[in-house]
Amino acid sequence: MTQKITIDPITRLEGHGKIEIFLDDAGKVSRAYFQVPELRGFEQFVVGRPAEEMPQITSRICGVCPTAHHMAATKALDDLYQVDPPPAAKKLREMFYNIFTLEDHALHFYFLGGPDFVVGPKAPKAERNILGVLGKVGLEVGKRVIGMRRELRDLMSYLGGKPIHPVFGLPGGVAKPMAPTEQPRFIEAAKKGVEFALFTLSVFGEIVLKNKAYVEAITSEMYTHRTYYMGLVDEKNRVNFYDGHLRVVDPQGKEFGSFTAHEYLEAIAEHVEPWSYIKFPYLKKVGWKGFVDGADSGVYSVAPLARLNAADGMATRRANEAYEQLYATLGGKPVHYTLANHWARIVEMIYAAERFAELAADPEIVDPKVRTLPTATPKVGMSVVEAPRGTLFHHYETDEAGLITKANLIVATQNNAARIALSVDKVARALINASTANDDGLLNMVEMAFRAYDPCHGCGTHSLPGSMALKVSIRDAAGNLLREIRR
Amino acid sequence: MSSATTPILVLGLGNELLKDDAVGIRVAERLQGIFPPEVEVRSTSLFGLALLDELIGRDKVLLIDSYIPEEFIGSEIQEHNLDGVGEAQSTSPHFVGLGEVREVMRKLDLGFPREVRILAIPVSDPITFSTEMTPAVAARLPEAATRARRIVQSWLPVAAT
Repeated sequence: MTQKITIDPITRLEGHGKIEIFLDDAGKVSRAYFQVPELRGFEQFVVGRPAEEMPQITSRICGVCPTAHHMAATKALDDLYQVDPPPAAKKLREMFYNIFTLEDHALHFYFLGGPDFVVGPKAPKAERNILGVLGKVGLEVGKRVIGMRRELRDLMSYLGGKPIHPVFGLPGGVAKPMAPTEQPRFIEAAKKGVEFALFTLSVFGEIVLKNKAYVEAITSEMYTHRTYYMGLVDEKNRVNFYDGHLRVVDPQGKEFGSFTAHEYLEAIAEHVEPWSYIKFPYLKKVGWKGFVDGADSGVYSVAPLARLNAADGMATRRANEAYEQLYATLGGKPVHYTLANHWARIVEMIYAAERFAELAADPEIVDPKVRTLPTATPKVGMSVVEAPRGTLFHHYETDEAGLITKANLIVATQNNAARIALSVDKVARALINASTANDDGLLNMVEMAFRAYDPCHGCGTHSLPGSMALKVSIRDAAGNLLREIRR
Repeated sequence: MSSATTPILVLGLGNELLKDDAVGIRVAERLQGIFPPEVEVRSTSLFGLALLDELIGRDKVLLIDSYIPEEFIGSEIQEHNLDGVGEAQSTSPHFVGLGEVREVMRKLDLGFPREVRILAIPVSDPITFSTEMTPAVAARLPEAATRARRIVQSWLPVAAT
């Protein structure tokens, strides 16, 4: 019998990520829980504030991907005020957003996804970090990433005043047009971005795909979940980060349904567990069946791999070639290997760069008309964008003066919360028993389970050492603490 | 890489919307306008590799940030250098810290500052949305500002202070 333990997330988390593992009488894992501190009180905080502040407020939720919130908030304001931006404004927004996605994905692949993806999961601890990645790809490549990142941020600063917390999106448009004299700079940067994204794919092919051991790790059962997948697509069911409708496919890859931002409450419900502040979204039509995968479970996934699974292709040529290569290599659609998120990220890099190039060269993008002034009385605004880490919903309700009366956000990590919990539980069951040795190896393998999702938890609670403080507790069937591993 | 115009940077880190997490920014606000021109005082809500942009070209940097103590009551403001910051162990963009930034900058020859000090202020609640800090945390602002000022003054020529 396993003792039921009541976990109070407030008193125990103390700013750390925490994994509680409960063993049964036989010393095997009966359940593992992954808990992180959650940002609290957002909905109360924004009540009474002008909705027009939301692009600035929400962009401060996350210090890594503020542009995603900024864009989702901006689109929600369009909806709230029932205003349609002029074509140039939409193109500027989409270009800005693809610049952001390109930069974010590049950074992630070279500097952060590396320990699991480029260096390899069984590499020595001292190499499983940024330096290990730089050692594999070369310092010149590292400098190239930094240089490209700086250039992309300069472009975002031109459009939005600053790359982070930009003053860019407004209801009905954007803050300023692009001067025709600036267009060549954007075109040139986009061209370099495409070259670099394709180079990244070649690096990946050399370092990862030719490494049999690593391909085996990607496809291992321990990191595999057969869930539903959701992503934003255009009218031809191709991946789009900025606009479109949401498409859901089942674990066999067949279309399960599609819906717009306005319909998200009909499509998604949230399950609550007593051991976590985070709610666990699931597909309403399938229902909540617990932390299990499969076609009978409403658990779904978002983020790069999910986006590719949910789409029929990419809207640009080279990205689509890369998309097809991924599926040909991994056995067809859909791909269920969580670690393949890192590969999908590269495919998306190529798309972001190519789309950036298309928009930068579009003559309409320098049209000075970039705002339609709102005139309607606000009431309800909903939007969706694809943040680098997955689908992001914003939903505001206001009074007639435009003051918020209710707000709801479903962030990418929340959309993935159930699948992340599944991943941690599965790895823990595979690796841990009463006599498990090697703390470091255990931590790494468990971390890999959620690292592929790049979860965004408590973004404001960065710590001095930077690394997410993590505490893993292993308890026996009576709830007694057997071992605790801290980092 | 070209040098920034001010070799000394005081950088308040935090999030103004997350209650006590604003403390680094609030301390930096108290330090505005009190130093000579070779010292720049800034604030940012960014972290991770974005810190790299702030550090390039600087000679000395004071970071002002929050930390979560085991027990808030009785906890002290702490000063650190980078000796206590561990090796790079990058896990995600959301949790990259000074260790990773330092190693990347050194590896890529980007000119990591000669000296980095950290002033860490204990906080009680950095995860609730609020623009008001816990009163006990707000009460530490003068002390934190004084300590920050002492650190910066130790870097300046005597005549400049």
